[in-house]
Amino acid sequence: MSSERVSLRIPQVSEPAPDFEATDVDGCIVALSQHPKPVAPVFLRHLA
Amino acid sequence: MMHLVQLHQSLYAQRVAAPVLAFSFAPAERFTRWISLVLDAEMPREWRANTRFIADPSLRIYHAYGLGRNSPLRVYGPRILLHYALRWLRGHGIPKVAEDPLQRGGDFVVDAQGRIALSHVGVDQADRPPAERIVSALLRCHR
Repeated sequence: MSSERVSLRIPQVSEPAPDFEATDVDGCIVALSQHPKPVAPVFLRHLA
Repeated sequence: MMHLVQLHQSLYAQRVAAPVLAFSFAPAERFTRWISLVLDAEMPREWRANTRFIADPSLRIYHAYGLGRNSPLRVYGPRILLHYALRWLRGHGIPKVAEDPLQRGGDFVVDAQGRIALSHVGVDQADRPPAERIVSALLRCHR
């Protein structure tokens, strides 16, 4: 929870999706560029 | 959480095997515990056979998708207050929040060319696209 201001931009339809590489909770590497598509990235808010 | 369940229910019901990448900014350990204790109680595991769960506590990927913090006025706007009031009236109580309640979420669909086919970041914390809209966007990408 930082008060640092970050300039952020939400990617819009038809723009290239920002690529990323991350490790999932099972320890496997997930890279968007290598992942089967179409794909739905869902960014959750806080966990209730 | 209900949004994630509804999305998987729609995908399963319509036999759409498109993958889902579900992100949380909670630490991986807490996210894993939440999946097994909360999510598994709400939907069968077979619904999420194509889903990968990614913890992003540094917010690196959230920020790459433009998802920063919302303003307190939006987070605690009329729709959220109504939602909490209804929960309270039904005897469910107000959920305790361990993570930043101001952090925004969002829904995207990425097509086969790696381009954004759907981009939805709600105006407040209660604003999510209907699951059907996400499923429709995924199906359009297949055509």
